Formats: sequence, C-alpha cells, structure tokens
Amino acid sequence: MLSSGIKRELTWVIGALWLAFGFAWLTGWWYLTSAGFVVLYIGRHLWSVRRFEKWIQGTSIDAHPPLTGLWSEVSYQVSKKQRALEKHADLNFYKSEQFKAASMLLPSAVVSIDQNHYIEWLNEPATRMLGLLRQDVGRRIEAILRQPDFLEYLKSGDYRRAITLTLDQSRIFEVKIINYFENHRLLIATDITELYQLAQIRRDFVANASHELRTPLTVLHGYLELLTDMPHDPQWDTPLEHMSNQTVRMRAIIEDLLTLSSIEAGSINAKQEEVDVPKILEQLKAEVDQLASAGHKLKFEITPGLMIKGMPEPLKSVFMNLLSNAIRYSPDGGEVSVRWYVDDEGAHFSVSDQGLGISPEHIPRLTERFYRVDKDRSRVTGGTGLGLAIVKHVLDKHDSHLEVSSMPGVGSTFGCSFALNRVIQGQKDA
Amino acid sequence: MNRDEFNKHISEQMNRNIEALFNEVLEMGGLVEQQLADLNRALESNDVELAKDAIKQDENINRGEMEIDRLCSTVLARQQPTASDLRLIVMAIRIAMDLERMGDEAVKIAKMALEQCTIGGDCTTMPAYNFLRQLMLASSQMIKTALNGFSRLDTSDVMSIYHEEERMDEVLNQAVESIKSELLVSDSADKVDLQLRMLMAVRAAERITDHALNIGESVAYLVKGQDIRNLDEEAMAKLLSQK
Repeated sequence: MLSSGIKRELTWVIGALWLAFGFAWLTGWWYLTSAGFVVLYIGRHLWSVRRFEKWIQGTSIDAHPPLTGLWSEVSYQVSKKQRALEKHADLNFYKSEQFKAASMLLPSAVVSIDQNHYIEWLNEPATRMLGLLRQDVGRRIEAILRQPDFLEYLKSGDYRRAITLTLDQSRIFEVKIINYFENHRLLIATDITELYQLAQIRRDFVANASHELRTPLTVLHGYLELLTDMPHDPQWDTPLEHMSNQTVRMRAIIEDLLTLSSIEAGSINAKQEEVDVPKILEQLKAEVDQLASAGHKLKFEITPGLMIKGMPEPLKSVFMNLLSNAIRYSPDGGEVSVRWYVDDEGAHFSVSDQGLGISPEHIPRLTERFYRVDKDRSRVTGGTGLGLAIVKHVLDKHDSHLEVSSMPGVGSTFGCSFALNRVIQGQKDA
Repeated sequence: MNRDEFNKHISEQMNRNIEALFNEVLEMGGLVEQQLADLNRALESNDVELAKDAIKQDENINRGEMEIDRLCSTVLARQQPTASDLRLIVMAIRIAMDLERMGDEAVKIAKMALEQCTIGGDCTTMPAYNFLRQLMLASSQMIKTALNGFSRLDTSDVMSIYHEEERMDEVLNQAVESIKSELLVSDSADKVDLQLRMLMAVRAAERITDHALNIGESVAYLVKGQDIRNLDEEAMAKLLSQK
C-alpha cells in the first residue's frame, strides 16, 4: 500500500498534470507547458521546504505548515510526535514534582551531596534539624556540619553503619549516608533523642534495680545457709535445699544483669589487650569437665598460639556461655566439639552439639533477654536467660557477631569470627 | 565577596589551596565546637570522661592551628594573593588564633571541673555555677553562629554576636559580684580556694565569648573589606546592613 504522504503527493501531481494537459491541449504549447510544469513542481517543493522550516523554528506565530502534498503529511506527523513528547515531558515533570513534594514531607532530614560533598538539594526537615539553609545548596556539607565525628565518617567512605551525632547541645541524631545515583550520596538524619533517652532510662533502671536486689538476697542466702547447718526437723531438708538453690539462681541472674548493664553502659571499654584464647579454652575445659559429668563427649580442636586482641574477661564469659549452653542442651552422651582456628578471613570460634536443635523462627530472637525457646525445659536446665544477650554485647564490642546454624533434631553450631586485624599469631609451631 | 570567587583563579593550584584553607578553618572550628559541647555536658552531668575528652581535644586544635599557618604561608609564598584572597588568608590566621585561644580557655574550665569532680564535689553545687553555665551555653551558640557566618560569608548575624557578648560581660560582672559576696562569708581556706577557682573559670568562659566576637569581626572584615573593630555600635550596624 502507498503511504499517505505519497498518496497526497500523487493526488496533487495528477491533479496538476490534468490541468497542464488541458491547458496544453487548448493552447497547443506542449513543450512550454511541460517545462512550466517541471519548474512549478520543483518551485512548489522548495517553497514548502522553506515554509516547513519557518514553522518548525517556531520564531513567528504567523508561520503555518504547508497544506498540500507530501509536506503537509510530514508537518502533521511532526506535530503529532511533538505533542506526544510534550505530554510525556509534562507527565515526567508532574512525577518529579510529586517526588520532590514527597521528599520535602519526609520526617527525616534528607540532603543530597555530590562526590565532592557539595550540597545538591535538601528537604525541609534538613533545614529544621541540621540547621542548613536553602542558600547552602552549592556549598560543601562540611562547612555547616563541622562535628569531628561526622567529618571522619564522611571521609572514611565506609557507610555501612550509621553514626549518632549530638547537635545543638541536646538533640541526638542518627546520621546515615547512602550511595546512590552514580557518584551521589544521600545523607539521612533522624532525630532519635526520645529513643535514646528511653534506652538510657531502661539501662539505668536495670542497673539500679539489680544492684538494690543484690543486698537483700545476700542476707537471705546467708540465713538459709545458717538454717541448713543448724539442727532442724528433717522434714525441712527439702524446702531448705530448694530455697537455697533458688537464691543461688537468682543471684546468678542478677550478676548477669549487672554484667549486661555494665557492658551496655560501656564501662568495660577496658583496654584491648592480647587475649590468649587457647589458654582460656584450656581452663574452660577443666571447668566444663566437672559440669559434664553426665557423660558428654567433649572434643577440643584448638590452634595453639592463636591469640586475638580484645578484652580477656568478657571473652572468657562468651566462650563459657556458649560451651555451657551446648552441654546443657545436649542429651547425655552427646558429643560437643569446640573449634578455634584461623583462615584467610580471620579467627573463628565454634561450638557444635548434637542436641535438640532450634527451629529457624527462634534463631533471630535468641539473644533477647529472657527469651526461651521452650518455656518449660529451660527452667529445669538452670540457665539465667541472659547468657546469649551477654555474648551478643561482648561480641559487639569486638566488631563481631553471633553466628548460629541449627537443624532441629540434629544439633546446633554457635560461633563467632574475629577480623584478621585482631589476630595475633604467636609461635606457630608451638 | 562571594564564595564562587575562590574558583575563579587562573591558577588551579591556587583554587585548591584557598579551598583547602577555608575547609581547614571550618574543621578546626568544628573541633572547638565539639570541645565546648563536651565541656558543657561534663559540667551538667559531672562526667569526668567528657571533661578529659575536652582537655585531650586541645592537642588536635593546636595541630589545626599549625596546619592553617602552614597553608597560609604556602599560599602567601607561592601565589602572592591580593584583595579578597589576601583578606581570607589574613583572617584565617586570625580566626585560627582565636579558636586556639578558645581551646586553651576551655581547657582551663575543664581542669577546674575535673578537680571539682575528683574531690568528690558536684559541679552543679559550685558557687556561681548558673553564671558559668550561662556563659558556656552562650559561647557555644556564639561560636556556632560565627562559624556559620564564615562558611556562608554572611555578616547578618554579627550584630547578634556583638549584643550577646555585651550581655555576657554583664553576666560576668554578676558572677564576680556573687563570688565576692561568698568570699566575704567563707571561713575556711578550702572554700576560698573553690571560690577563686570558680572566678578563674567564669573569667575563662567570658574570654571565650570575646574570642567568638573576634571571629565575627574577622568574618565582617573578610566579607565587607572594612575593619569594624573600632566602630561604635551604630556605625557597625550600618556597615553590616549595607549591600
């Protein structure tokens, strides 16, 4: 089929040819007429091109596109396309305006910066919370946010973690930088003052309450011991034993709570020193051998001389907690294997047991305080419910985290890894 | 003067040096701001660690001043800047000096607070504590305003710094009066000691606000090209409001 442009052109050509033919037939000027036709045809094209150009430039309002032949069709198609583009651009503009309006209304402060830290745009909360001004667009972010901690974070280029900043004396912000859109970065700040204070209150409460509970408990325990040793009716033997067991347990819980709150408060930010892990594990082995009287098979696989930088006492409690958990939750005669080794990624500690295993839905919640997988069982086995919470916090201080893998009915493996920069390898051959 | 002027030199090296100098001043200012914030919190909550942090910060501040001096002499020696560039360099040296002095004064206060905390006392119960607090909070705010003015090359807040500084002179007088009256009734050497230490601390805090005003004046000179130090209040306000 012929395209509509060609059709229009042919209509004009044939129409004009008929006229020319009629004119030549009447006058008999055949040559002159055909020459005139060719000149007219070319002239009309040139004139149309000129008109089309004028119209497409759009400088004068009077310019109209050519109305006949091929050029009218071309003009029609061009204007159709243009209208579609305009519509698309309108839509995009609308969308970008909508996005801009949404970003202005976000409750967090959002600032976009380029690779040289020049501010590109910012939203309204950024002016309110961070003290930036609209005029600051085009300035460097360091010029306004001068906190040394922030500068260090910005320069480090490692934005996996968020930092907390105190601005205006009292407001606390969580600040995070996200890489986006080629080399640009998004700085997001959220006001966490209330949350922070709440956490502080909780920490203080736990620390104070545990401290206050410890004194009466000591008195209670002392008198119970005294009563047990004094001559008494044998029917009181069992109650006294139970009572004294429970006070011991309660004291363990309080000790753990105090440890936890001191870790959280950061007061054990003691010096990081060399920790002789193999030696600690040797000691633990001796302690655990007594605990595992019920015939657990213990297997230790320890790389000698593999030491790390860290805090000795807290790390010891980590290993102890993981090990005693493994023994507590495996059946008599089960095998518990402990490994301490190093590879290309760092030093690893792991404890595997052949116990009950933990179903996947419980694993993320294991480090919560007093979280029990099985409410009835755990009380019998006598844990405080705080062991893994302590483990989590201590590992946090060592830039590590608890790794758990478990299959119900098969067994569990608890472990942690320490980065290579903490590893100190002593005498390799020892 | 406009911020963009820094990028209009034919010498690329000069652009970079000037920009680095500008950022170095602000970074050093950030250190002092942090130091004052730590000190404020230490005074508020008797936190010995924070007071120690504030004292330790002084080393970094001194290093910042040295770095600024080095950058300034580099630019002066290599590029012989004139006009606004020269003003920036002279003022950077001045501002760095003021910041360094502020850091030193803050250390004095921190040492006093530390002593008070370790004796077992509570900073909040010290004589004239409220005045010290007022002075410290004002100085934190003033240095922030002054540095923001520097980073934005904007003199609109210089007047407010000026007024605040005058108000703080008044607060210092009141503080001195209150310490004086306490001294008259104190009967033990320990108490007199404490009063005297406090006198030094409020004096140091007032000095910090003076230095903050100096920075404000430096910014005004940098932007307007005219010294406002010997002007009276009216002339100063007039000059600063000129476009």
